[in-house]
Amino acid sequence: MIQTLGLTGYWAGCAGVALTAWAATRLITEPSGPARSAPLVSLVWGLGATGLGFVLSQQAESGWNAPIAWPILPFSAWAALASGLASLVLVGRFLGMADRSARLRALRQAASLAGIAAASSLWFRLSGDPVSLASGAIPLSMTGGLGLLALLACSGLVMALVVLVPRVQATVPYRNPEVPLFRVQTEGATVIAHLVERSGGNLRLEIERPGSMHGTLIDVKTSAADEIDRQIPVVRARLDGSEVTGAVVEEMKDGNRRVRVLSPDARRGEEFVASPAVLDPVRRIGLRTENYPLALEELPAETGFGLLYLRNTALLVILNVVGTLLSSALVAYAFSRMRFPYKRPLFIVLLSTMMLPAAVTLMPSFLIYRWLGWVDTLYPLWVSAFFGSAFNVFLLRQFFLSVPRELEEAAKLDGCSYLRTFWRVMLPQVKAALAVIGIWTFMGTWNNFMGPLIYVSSPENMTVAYATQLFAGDKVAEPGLLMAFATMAMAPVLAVFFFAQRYFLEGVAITGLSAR
Amino acid sequence: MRLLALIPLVLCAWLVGGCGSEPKQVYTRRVVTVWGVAGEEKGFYAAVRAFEHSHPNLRVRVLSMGTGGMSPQKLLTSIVGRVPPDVIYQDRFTVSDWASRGAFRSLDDLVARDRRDPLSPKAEQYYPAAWNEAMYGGKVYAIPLRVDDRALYWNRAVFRENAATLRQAGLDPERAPRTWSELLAYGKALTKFDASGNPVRLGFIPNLGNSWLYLYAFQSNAAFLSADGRRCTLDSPETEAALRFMKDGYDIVGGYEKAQAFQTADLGGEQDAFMTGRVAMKIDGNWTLGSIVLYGPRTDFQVAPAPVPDDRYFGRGRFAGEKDRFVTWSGGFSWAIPTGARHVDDGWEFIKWITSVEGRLYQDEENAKWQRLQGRAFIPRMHANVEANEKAFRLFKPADPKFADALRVHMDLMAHSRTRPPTFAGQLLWDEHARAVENACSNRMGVKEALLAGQRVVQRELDDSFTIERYPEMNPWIPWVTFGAILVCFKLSLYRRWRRMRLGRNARQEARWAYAFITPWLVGFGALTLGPMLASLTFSFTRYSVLSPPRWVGLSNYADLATSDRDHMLKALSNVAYLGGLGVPLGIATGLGVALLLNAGVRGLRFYRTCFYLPSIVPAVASAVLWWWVLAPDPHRGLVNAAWTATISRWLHLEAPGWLSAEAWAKPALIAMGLWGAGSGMILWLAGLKGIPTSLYEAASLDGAKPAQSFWKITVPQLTPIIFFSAVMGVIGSLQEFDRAYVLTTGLGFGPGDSLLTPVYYLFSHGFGYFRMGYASAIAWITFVIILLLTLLQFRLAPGWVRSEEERE
Repeated sequence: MIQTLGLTGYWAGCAGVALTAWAATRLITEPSGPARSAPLVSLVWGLGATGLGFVLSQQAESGWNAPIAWPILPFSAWAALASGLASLVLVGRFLGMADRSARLRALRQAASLAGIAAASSLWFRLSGDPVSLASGAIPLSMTGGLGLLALLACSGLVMALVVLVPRVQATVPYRNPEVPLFRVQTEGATVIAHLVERSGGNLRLEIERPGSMHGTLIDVKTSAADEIDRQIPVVRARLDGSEVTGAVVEEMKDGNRRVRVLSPDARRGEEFVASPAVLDPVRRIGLRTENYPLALEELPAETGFGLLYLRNTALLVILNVVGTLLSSALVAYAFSRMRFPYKRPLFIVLLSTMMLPAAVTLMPSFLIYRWLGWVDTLYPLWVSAFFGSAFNVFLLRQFFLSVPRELEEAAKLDGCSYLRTFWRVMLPQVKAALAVIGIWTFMGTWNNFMGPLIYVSSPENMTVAYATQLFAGDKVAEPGLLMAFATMAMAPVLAVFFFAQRYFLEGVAITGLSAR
Repeated sequence: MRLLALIPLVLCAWLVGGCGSEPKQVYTRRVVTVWGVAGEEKGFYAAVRAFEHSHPNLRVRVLSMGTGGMSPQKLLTSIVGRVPPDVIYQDRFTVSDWASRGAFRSLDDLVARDRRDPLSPKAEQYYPAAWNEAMYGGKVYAIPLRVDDRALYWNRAVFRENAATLRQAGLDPERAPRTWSELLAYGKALTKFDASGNPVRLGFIPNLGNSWLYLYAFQSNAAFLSADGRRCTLDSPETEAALRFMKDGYDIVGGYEKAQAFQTADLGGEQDAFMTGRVAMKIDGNWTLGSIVLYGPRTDFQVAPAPVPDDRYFGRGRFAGEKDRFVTWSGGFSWAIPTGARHVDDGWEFIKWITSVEGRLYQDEENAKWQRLQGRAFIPRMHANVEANEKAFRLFKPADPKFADALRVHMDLMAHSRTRPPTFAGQLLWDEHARAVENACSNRMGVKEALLAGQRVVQRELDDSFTIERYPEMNPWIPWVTFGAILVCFKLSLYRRWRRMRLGRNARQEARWAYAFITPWLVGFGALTLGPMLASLTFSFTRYSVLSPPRWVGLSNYADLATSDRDHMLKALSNVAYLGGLGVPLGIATGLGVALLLNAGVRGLRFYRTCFYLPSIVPAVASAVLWWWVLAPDPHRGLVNAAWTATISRWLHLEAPGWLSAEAWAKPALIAMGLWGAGSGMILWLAGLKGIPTSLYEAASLDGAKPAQSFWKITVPQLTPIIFFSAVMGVIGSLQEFDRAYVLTTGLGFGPGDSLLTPVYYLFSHGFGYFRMGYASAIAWITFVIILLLTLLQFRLAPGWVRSEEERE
């Protein structure tokens, strides 16, 4: 009895998951507004069913096993489940349909989905022990835990998508005979500009893109200019009582739009003028990828689309990482393993440099750097790294403290000098900690915004993080551009972390210890 | 993998090559540096190019220097360091704060010199309110660029839908309210709640949009300062009447907290509460027209002068004989030249062009073009220059009469506009008035009491500043002499101890080596850290505005902290105690838990690790925006509360938390955000786990230990040095909590009920907001001492539980 209840619970849970997935999809595709409440309720029901299944299924199998299995069911099982459900839905719809051609289409789709379901369940059957998989008998493991976390992350993503369904304006290409658009090479850059006036063989053009050069007038030879299409937005409107789709061919000076009808075919080519308030932009679900080039184009041309920022940042990152690792390790070693007068008070002093809020030492520090003539250079941003930072010294000290003393004593007996002991014996023992400090310094330097803000004023000395902040300040009205820029600022760090982690997190061998 | 190895090589080549091949740009033209420009439209940059075109010997460099405006730290350091920009774009109401401390240059001589120049600004061309706001002590310090003013926006569609309800209440649905009592009546009639008490639509929220107490107080004829600027009149009966009105307004919509939750979630854009009809009326500035035309051009709205006290409208009582029936409040930005600017004349040329009628219309023209190109309608913003304003209205009048009429209302209101009083304590007055509004409206204090509390703080600052002369100026050499003395003392005692210790040869050699090893830190400490630390200690005994020499006040900063400001300080400390007490252990547990998961040999581990690390590298600006989306209290916006209202509220009838807009939830929200960044700690734990010899686990499993046992008996003891490190750093970090609180409150106030007030936030607002660096230093040193004591305590307790190889000496 309990077994049956448990298995029922398990499948109730599965149905719950399916319902949740369906509701989430509905939420994604549904436009915002009250229409969302229905799928939201389903989502809640689905989650509820999942929870119920979770509780009940524990009766069937011992402990936590069953629920862990769901998110990590093999891909084939999911495919079978999803396509089977979809085909059932389609059959249901087929029964309710009146239109012949639509019925045929639905039937065909249902059949093909059923085929997929059959194929995937076969694959699922062949790929392992389906019985134990279906009842969820997979023990709690790291894989399971990670799968569950991944599912959580994914559901978070789905939630984010529900709120922010990305939609882009539909456009059609158009050439305006009066104000043609050209692509031109000027001063080494490709710009897009429209015609202002023609004189002889020359054209006077006004630059539209890149954004940083917008509004600049240039003169070019007719032969050097390439006419290109302008992408104009598609809108829907009511014209004489009937619905039409058209494209905006002109943004008029008084704020009204001139629209040329695209469909229905009977009225194609007709033009009318309307206020933007009565035009309904046609949008489709999609990603607005042009945010990325547009964000880069907003940067001043002399920064090479941000390459200059990247170079400054890379320089700072390298200097800071090298400086911090060298100096902090030396200082930390002395504080952890060597005996000398004033060791404890000096260590407290070292720690205390972290305890005074930086806001009040900002001004005197600034004056010191100004006295050195380093304001508006990169020096203030890396020189101090070579003097060791309290935070890293403390961290490394903790790691040095846990290294067995025997190692050091053995080195001493072999006649190693202190420097050599440090370099050859002790440093390799704390490789992992050095890696952590390396990453932290890397990230800290990469994202440091306050330092460059205070010390740097010229664009040629700016860093990526600073540019991101300035960008946020300048383009507050365009969150899309800001997020695109932030993503680009983040991407290199992410890539470095992804590819290099094996060197510092996995490649760290604990030499000399494992033999103990 | 070989490709990966190439990356460093290429990188080096690029860095070195880049440095070599690109010689420092040599400008043959003089550079005019312009700071503080943020969120300006394309037209401004076009006008800059036109300026460069007409001045071939000049080059203009425009920078915002901070998010959404000028960072006060940057401006302050640059002026003190005598490397200021040539021109600064500054919010007008702060001009007097800076000018009174000698940070801006008076422009009188330049205005007088160029009297004949048609481009040159002249007082008579400007709206008096705008021009006077940029003056201090009878001198002109800045040239106003734009003006804004506030008016009532009412959604006609909502009025029409509810015509029956309005008529029932004896109100005309075809017109906007004109008096305060009408406004409240309309607001009440249009407010609607659903069955569970969540607002469906609110009629009117006193401070949605932009009105603050200032607008209502000006309408009630209140001034915030006496005419001579020596007495703060925040507690006057007029202001009290205005605040009472606001409180009534909040009571109608279900209280301040509810309204705040509704309001802070309003991200604007297409989901703007007013445009979507979820708020029927609001008071806002003319800038909001731009966002309506962009996101909700179909909104059926109208603009009317903001309702005034009934007596003012009917011209009776204390308003009898008043010439302005309606009153508005205006502000805006303006151009100034900081003291010590290198190219004053060039900067002035630039200001002249950018503020001239011609320059203004040029900017409008270019803006209009850009907006057209983007497929948007253009609504001109208002100029402080009357002629330019009228011309711009004629030239760029929106085609839609709805917008044109709205703009006209705003322009006509400029004749009845008031501005904030020019004073050196402008920022303090602002902050205190905002705090009084919150305290009174949320029923934490009575109206009178709240205003009086604010008045006292401002008055103390005024009194102190007017009597500053009685304190002696501090000798600037004091910190340096102390610094030298400490170095000498240290050296001497080291030498003596060295002699006294009679170390053996080996021990002496070891000590020598040890000092050699810590030399980098000693040098850095002596050269870069000790000086500033001592300087701040010295400043804590002074009144120091940074822009003028410090004056010695003895212990009075500390005394103030212990007496009149004790409540704030205690609140700040209890806040960080909460944050640290809950946040540090949770952070350690989360980081360690994730690290344990990610330490397993699972496929795709690199991917998972990167995922978990991702949050800690998201730039702060981006993550602040993200968290707003997640934690916004309004269930229609915030992800968490959307799920909450759909589940927990429905089943258990528990109200969704207000997160960042509720006093009780702001700190938990901050802690949750901290846990999101646990990935950064995760890698430390991973490193620690790697350091545990596998032989220990092998031995344990041979002895038949269960995983849980080996976790508690091997993993945790082996990790104690790192747990200790995390605990110490966590305490230091949480007592210095600032960045996140600052970003989340966007620098406006300290969160609901001061719930995000932290010591560093408090000292920051004093140091860089109110120019009280001495006081800020005193707060810093108190914080310092507390952290030091806690850290020493932790070190004292450490030998009891932290495993260390050192103790086996």
